Amino acid sequence: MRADPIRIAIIGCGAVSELLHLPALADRAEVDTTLLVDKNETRARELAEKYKVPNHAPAWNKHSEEFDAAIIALPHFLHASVTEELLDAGKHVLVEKPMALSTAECDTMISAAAQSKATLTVGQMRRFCPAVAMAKTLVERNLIGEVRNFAVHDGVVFAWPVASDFQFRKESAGGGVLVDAGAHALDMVIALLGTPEVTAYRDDAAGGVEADCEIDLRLPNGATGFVELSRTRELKNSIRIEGTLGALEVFFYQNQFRIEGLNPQQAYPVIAAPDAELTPDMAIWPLMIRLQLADWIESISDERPPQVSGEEGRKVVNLIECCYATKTPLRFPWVKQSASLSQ
Amino acid sequence: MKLSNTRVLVTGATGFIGGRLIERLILQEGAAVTALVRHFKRASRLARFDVQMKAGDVTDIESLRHAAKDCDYIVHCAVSFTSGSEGNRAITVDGTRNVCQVARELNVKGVAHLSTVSVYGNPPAGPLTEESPAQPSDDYGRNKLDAEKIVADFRKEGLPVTILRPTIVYGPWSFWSTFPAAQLERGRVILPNGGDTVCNAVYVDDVITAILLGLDKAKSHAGPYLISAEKPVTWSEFFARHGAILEDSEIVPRPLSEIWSHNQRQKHWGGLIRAWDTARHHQGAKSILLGIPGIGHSVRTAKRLFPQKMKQLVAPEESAAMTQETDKILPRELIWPIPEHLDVFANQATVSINAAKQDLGYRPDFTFEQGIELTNSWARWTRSLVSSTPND
Repeated sequence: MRADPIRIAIIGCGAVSELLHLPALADRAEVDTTLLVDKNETRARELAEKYKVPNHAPAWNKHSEEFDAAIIALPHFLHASVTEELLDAGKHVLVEKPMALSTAECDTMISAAAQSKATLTVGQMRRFCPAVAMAKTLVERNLIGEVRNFAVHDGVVFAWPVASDFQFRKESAGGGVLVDAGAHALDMVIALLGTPEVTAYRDDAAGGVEADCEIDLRLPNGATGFVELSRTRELKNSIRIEGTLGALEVFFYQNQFRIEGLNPQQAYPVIAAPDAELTPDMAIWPLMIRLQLADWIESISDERPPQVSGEEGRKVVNLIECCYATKTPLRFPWVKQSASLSQ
Repeated sequence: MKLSNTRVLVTGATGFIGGRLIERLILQEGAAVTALVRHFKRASRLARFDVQMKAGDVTDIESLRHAAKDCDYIVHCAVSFTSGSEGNRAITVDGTRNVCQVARELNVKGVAHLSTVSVYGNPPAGPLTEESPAQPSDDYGRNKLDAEKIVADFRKEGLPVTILRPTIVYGPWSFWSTFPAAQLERGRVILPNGGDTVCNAVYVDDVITAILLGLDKAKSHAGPYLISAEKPVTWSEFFARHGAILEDSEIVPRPLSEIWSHNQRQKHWGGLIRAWDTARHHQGAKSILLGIPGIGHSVRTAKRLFPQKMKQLVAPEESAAMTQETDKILPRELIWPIPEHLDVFANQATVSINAAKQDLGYRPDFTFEQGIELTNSWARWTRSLVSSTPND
């Protein structure tokens, strides 16, 4: 255990830093946020003043002595290079999801972490949702028997207060809803059920980034899965897992789950997981981010691996790569396309 | 029209008509598109395509100039209903002036300006044509009419621009498609005269077709042109067919006069009546409502001022009996049309599209049957899982 507070820099002062990371860090006594970095200096200064962070800068390099660990919340295409630089400088890193735009980039980041002995973790916070964590325990203890199939419906109308189009460009974001909400959904599947393979993928992008997509998956035991992701619709926002002995459904934004026996009449009431003081839908985000930050900070001070290592983050990027490699169009009857312009 | 080697600037690109226009321009016309984007958070649908997204706003002429560079055509769909009275006017009227100004500076080949049937206000029963008097009855119609006047002035000075006046535009992502379904889901919808009135509806794709024709004919034809389907439907049919995606939907007839009186009561007693309506349809809600400081205070004040009336309204024993009684008679909440929609739902004017047919070669491709089928396939897709919540 280390006695001094861990000094943290936040690299990238977009909405996620303001709305989630800075408030979560402000709550913790064992860390000091010492530096905010953003190429938009006005933005960095405003946030530094608001959260009483002593310093801010357009780049971290000249301030290397001021922090021990960094949270990277930059446009996705910068995740790999900035993570590598920071790890090489001996800094612990929490990089926002998706870990990187390719598994090749992930491999470089993992090697950099191994060489530096610094801790690398990926912001896959949904597996820290208490209801998801509890469901994982129940599945592992065979409550629903052997898993036969599962379905994820993950959709909210996109309203993230983005100031630029980086989230909407393939070159900067790496993709659309798949790399965004999809990274959380796929990580949740991996955490709960193990790593699946992609058997089919459909999305609605035609030269840009997808707003809606569907993924067919298969687990090593042959169980099949379906993942539906949307930036245009409010979906059920749950994962339902059916096994040989019953079914389990987790409502990840509400931190709730429901268990059903083999007979549908034997459904137990909806159960709110522990720490469920935050019930309104999206208020689960501050809770998840606090839990993930706690894990990362403990992993640094206790010198143990974090729950979401670089290797875990790479699994999600690998699935995303497989999806795009097998892409077919998601077609809608109300959107026709000229045969001559079909891709 | 050949747009395959051209670039089109779309304002209002993140909106419902702009969004469908861009799908058509890219997937069917093979055009290059530049989109003026005010709020990137609304750009999900747009970003599916290889579109140049330019941050900007029609009220900021420099951003428009920057976006319009290299564009051959401009389609002006931008409008605002949510920026406050002055903001809405600035976007609709000043924004249109800026679009025309930039179009003239860049010498574009054509501009399509999207106006609205609302410029007519509440037209009398019978045929409605481009020659009918424009007498808007709300801010939206007045702003759009003022915008049309600006467009016409630029036209006189040589700008190739066509004005289109679409009617009730329905289809995927349309307010006029989500609204009826949402109302019918909420309760039993009251329509004037049971909705046996005229709904001049047009499927969104027909409006897009008209826009493309307008761009093509902008040099020779100024308009304005009314754009609607071949035939109107009744408002009752319009609501009922949108409600087909629901398990249960009901339209309740009421004479216009009764709805008007209801709206007058709402105007004066709105908060209290709404609270009461809610209370009598939800067990226990009344005591909760009366416990809310503002409402409790209003009720107590009203009781002091109108003791008889309020005794009748809130006496506990009577209210229990009344709740039971109303539950028997009114299994679901009654949804009254808001005053702003009353004239729309009571409309008896039938839009003629002869001018658009003759001058632009406009031929609607969609009957209401065809349009609603596509709309409902979209509605089922968007709503497929929403009704299932953790508490069901």
